[in-house]
Amino acid sequence: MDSAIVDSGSFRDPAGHVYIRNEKIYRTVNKCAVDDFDFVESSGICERLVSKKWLIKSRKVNAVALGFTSPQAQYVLEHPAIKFVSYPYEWSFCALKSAALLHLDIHLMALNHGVTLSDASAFNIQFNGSEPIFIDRLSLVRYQEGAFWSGHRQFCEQFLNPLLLRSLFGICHNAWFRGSPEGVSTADIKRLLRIRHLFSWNILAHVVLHDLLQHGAAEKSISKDVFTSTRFPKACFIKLLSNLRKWIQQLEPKSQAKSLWHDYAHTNSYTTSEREQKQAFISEFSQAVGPDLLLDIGCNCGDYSQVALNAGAKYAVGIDFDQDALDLGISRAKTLKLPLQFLYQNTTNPSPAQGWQEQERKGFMQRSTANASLALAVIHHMVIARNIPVEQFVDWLMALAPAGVLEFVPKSDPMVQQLLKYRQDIFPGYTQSNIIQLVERRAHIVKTKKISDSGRILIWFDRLNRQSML
Amino acid sequence: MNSNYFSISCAVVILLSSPCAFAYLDPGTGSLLLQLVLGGIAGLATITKLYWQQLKSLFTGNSVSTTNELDTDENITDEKT
Repeated sequence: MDSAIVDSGSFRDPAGHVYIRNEKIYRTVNKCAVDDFDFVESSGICERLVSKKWLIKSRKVNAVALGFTSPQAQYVLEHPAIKFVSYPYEWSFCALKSAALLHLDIHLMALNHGVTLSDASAFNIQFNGSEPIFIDRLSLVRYQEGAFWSGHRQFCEQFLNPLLLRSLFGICHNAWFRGSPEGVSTADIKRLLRIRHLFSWNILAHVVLHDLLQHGAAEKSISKDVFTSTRFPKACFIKLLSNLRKWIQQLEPKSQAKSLWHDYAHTNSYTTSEREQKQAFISEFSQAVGPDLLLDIGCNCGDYSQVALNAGAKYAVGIDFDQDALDLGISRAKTLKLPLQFLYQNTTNPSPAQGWQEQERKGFMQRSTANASLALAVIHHMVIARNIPVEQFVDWLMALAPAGVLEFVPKSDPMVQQLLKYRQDIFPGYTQSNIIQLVERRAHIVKTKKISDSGRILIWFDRLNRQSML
Repeated sequence: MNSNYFSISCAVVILLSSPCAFAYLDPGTGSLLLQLVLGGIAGLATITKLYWQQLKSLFTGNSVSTTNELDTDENITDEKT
């Protein structure tokens, strides 16, 4: 039997740790957290949260039988695995907002059961399709009457401030958050404020006053007694959470010029017949492969992920760098209840492994267990627009998943012509015959189909099939 | 509501005049102080509202409702979807 391996990102909380064994997720509950754990269990909050699909399911399992011999671990819980672990710097505005609202809703409900959340880490939320779910059972602890909200600062830095970046200033939070995984500091948001922003009570309180008090506290020594002898009434706690909820519910991305891909579904160069041929091809591929996890590269609003899901794919992750397209996709996936997750990702600069010892947050590819991929009309954006050598592009595609569909867009296509309009053509290897040859050397080509007069071609490849042939 | 609130909130305001300091910044203290201030403001608002209702009742003759607005919010949140 394989031994359980502790997750490299699970080390901060002494209450317990996450382990992975045989693709199953386990969480230990250490001695120091047992009282809180039992209290929360008896409060009935977990059943309510699980029934609403707000909290991940957990069941106690036999620690000894599973080989957990640590004297610290009193209980071991088993959780269902998340299909694709993601981080807040990979979420669109809508996804981050729904995660923030979920955190506040859980906290509000928990307080009514005498339970509170010990922290406000955005990394404690994951996504099932496009719906957020809270995964850290041990963050739920007994509420002590009069206690302060210990996670307020973290909530501001990891939820509120990243949302304000986009809402007030039109700046996407992703690059900033990725560079600063603790979140966006309140001091930074305050520096960006203009006089017009000061007319909002919420901004005055949660940004300006918050920052001023922080700096004031650093200068004057505040006695610990101020916080131990003073109680923060529960009614005020609830009011604070519900006011934040009301404010965040109203936040929207700052209106700006439509993004490049926002209207792509209507402005691309496909005709209806070409689109139908493409859908039929993807459908056939998905039906034959039946992937557990499909990765849709450059997914836009997820049109073809949806086709694949309808034809047999069980779960799909769409990645794109266009925020508006991602938000449109999320809205549709929620409405249609599709097992479709959208992530902000730049394929030429994917999320790296980072954090403590460069292992706390895993790189994008490290987290993927995809067994199929779609790379529809992305090759020219990577090879021609970003100068990725064509051989390296094919190698990268093959490493993503063992089977997939690649759409090759020839130089004669109007979209590629646009990319080459003001630059020298330094891409002699970017030809249909060369691409097919490169794929053939690495995988079995199951099928190809020309889908446009300009010469766009779909290539269905299967790497596993080739290995069995050899 | 804790009676110390208003005085603590006022004392906290004095801190605002401090210049920036960059050493050994405790990242959580500002957040706790903010909660004290917000709690104080909420308490003040509730007290003001109660006195205002009492004043109004002198003229209208209606009895004053003693329900605290903050407390009633607890009942709403559990049913939120």
